[in-house]
Amino acid sequence: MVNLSGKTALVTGASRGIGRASALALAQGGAQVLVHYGRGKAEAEGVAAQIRNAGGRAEVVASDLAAPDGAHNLARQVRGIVGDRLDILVANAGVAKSANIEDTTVEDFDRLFAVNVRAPFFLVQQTLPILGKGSSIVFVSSLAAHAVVGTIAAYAATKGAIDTLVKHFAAALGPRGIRVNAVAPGVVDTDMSNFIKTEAGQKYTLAMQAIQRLARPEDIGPVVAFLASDDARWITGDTVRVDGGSKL
Amino acid sequence: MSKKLEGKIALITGGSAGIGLATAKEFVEEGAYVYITGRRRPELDAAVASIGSNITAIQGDVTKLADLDRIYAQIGREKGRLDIVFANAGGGPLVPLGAITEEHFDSVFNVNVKGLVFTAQKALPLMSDGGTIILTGSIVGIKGFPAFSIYSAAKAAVRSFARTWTTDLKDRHIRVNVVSPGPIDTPLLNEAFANPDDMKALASTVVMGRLGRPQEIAKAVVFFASDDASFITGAELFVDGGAAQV
Repeated sequence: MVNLSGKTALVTGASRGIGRASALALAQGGAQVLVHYGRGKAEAEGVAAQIRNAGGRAEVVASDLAAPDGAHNLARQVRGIVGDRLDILVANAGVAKSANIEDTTVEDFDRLFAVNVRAPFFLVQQTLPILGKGSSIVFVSSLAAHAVVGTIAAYAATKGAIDTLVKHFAAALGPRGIRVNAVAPGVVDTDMSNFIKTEAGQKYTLAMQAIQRLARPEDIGPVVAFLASDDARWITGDTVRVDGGSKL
Repeated sequence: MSKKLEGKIALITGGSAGIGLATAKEFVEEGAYVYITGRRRPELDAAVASIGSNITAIQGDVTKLADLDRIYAQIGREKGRLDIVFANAGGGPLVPLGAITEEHFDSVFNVNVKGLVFTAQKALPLMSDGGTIILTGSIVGIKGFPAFSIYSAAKAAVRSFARTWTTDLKDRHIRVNVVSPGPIDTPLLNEAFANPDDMKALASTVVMGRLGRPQEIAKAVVFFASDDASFITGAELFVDGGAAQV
């Protein structure tokens, strides 16, 4: 657990999975957390309630990040709550769709890139006025960005784009004292992964991992919290694999 | 706030200065009992004095297998087990291709590769299942800086070990990772870059605009050693202020 007391944080897609685990880990470290959701209102309120019940501070914010102005809309709400200082931005919200090359539609492709790439890009742009020296941006990449897991080429390409943004944003924002990194989980047992719910998927996952158990969101949250914290103040531009030693 | 390494027994090679010493300090603050090794007794004594309690120094050279045997025998006698190995001892002078001597090659590979291999291997009988090995790599392992060739190749070997050892040790649940610093303000770097202008030029290559500090690497090593990193293995973490990342 890291010390994040006095810090403000936004976690997108925090109603479930890795976003939820990240929000809880940040709150455990003492940060005030804005729990963003796109559709899971009740779940997001549950996450915020869990944080408050543990003595922490949390607010729920809603925005459809598939919409062209979704990031702008979210940034406005965030500024309304935290004022002029956001210390931690975890751009976690994402969508996944498994499809063969032949079966990938233009609509699916555009939706993947809208939520997974366009929204994080403009969320950073729109929150820049309230990010500053010591702020940390954490993206969520994927093992799929650099290794083949399942038939998810379009999704994987969105995560490759995230790794690229990490480097360019780190270079651009380093002089302002803002760090930019990503975590790259392998296969994680979340609602997003249909793969892990099949016997074949579980077998494949354990065969490619050194660590012989399936990853849970709770394995990823603390790594996000570390990268968000001052303990990681000399880490920027990096994508950290959190994949149990997958495809070594 | 609970401590991250409460009750853990750790060994840090090259622990009397720079990154090793800073990590020893962090480990002790996080609740670990720490053994440090180094070649020079006076520096080891000063390191122990600066940290105070929960630390023991053992004089020894990682390139000498008998020294490693003696180091592990003492830890075994005193603690009976080892949870964290930070194989950090390393370094070497810079020599461009054309001027590399056999002696230079051997000395750099001896400390950075051979010493590190046997530090890890000889630790295994003492290591608890579920323990962790952290290796000091370097950004030079993925970069092409002039005159760095032998040292860079040695660090590339270190990165490789984390992959293979992760698979060798998977049934024992021992995680193996690499922390790769960029330019850090340490005695080693100050020897290599005696000219202050060279140091300034080096700092300008870093995204964050300065040299790193040993404590900033130590924090990353603590993270890898802690349960927060329990699903990270076979990985390399660059702790370089962005120097090699962009």
